[in-house]
Amino acid sequence: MAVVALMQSTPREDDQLVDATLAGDGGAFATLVERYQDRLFGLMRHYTRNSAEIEDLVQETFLKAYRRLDTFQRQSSFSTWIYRIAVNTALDLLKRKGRNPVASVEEPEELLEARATSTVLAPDARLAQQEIVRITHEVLEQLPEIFRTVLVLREFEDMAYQDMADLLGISIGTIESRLFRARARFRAKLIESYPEFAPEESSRRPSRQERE
Amino acid sequence: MKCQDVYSLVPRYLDGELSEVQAAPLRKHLLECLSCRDAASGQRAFKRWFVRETAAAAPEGFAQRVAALAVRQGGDPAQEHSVRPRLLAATASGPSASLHDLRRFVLVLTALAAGLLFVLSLALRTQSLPTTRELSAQDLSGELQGAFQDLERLNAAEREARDGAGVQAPAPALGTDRGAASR
Repeated sequence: MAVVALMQSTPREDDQLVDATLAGDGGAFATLVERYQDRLFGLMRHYTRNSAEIEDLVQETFLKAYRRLDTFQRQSSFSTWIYRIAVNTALDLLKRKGRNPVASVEEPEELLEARATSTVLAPDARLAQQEIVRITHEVLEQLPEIFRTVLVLREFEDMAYQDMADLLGISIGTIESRLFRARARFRAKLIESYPEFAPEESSRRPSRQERE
Repeated sequence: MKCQDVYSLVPRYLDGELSEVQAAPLRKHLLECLSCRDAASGQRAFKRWFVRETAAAAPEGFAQRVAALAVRQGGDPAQEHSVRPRLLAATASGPSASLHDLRRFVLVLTALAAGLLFVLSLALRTQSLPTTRELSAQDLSGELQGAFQDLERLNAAEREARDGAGVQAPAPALGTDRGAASR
């Protein structure tokens, strides 16, 4: 019942809390932080594994949000708005650490086509959940940031294409093609690092056992 | 529905982006077409790589701390930098940060150099001008030194000759004088 109440009242309550914060109510802002903090901690885990960095990123996100709260236009939800700030804050950190979010995005399309058709085996049955998480993170880290971000938002944050489009300021069509390319890249990188997850026909040294 | 259409629809279907009206014919096709069903199940299996970790949780008191910090900072951009999060500030090696550091370093260096120059100029001024020791020929070595010694020897010989009895053999170097006199 509490969940239902929360779900029904959340959008309006976010707006009310924003209004109250703008009117100078610090407690209202604390409530907003409380509402989104865990989700943002979860989101930031996909950009860095350093827990101090994660905390700093989330803090920075909320501080930015507070400073820019008067620019928040109610066309999109507060949730989308805060996620946008969070993703940009995370990308800023990666940039500072020397990773260019736009680098190596361009790639011959035929290469992508070839990768897109490649498949990978599902991780189940052979791996413990922690091991899957570790491998997935390792592969995600090798992807250009724009691909990592769409995969994270779609697969981990369970966002709809429209929300992702709003958040990233691009069209749904671009989201779709970016997701397609991101998945292709993910598969290719996964097989590159872990050839054992390639299905028999595209693997160099096929192992019958591994297909079980 | 053709197999080609399925290829592009399956990702949207698996992402929950298809309406029921769009999804129904797709499902029907998947039931009938083995190769499309295989492709679709491969794509569904791929999603299993993205398992959610245990829910993340903010540390105790995080919201209160951040809210207090936000209120303290307010909208005053001047304060923005002084209360920056520790780690971001520490890892900030971005162009603006390093440029700022460099500028400060150069400024300090310039100030130090200027101070040093001033002290040096004062020291040079109060110091007496180059003296005999510096300008003396003691440092001159080789031929010049030898020439002086020769000259001194000649002078000594001349003095001796003059002081001695009469006009005996004059020193050899005085030959020129003698020559000039005889002319």
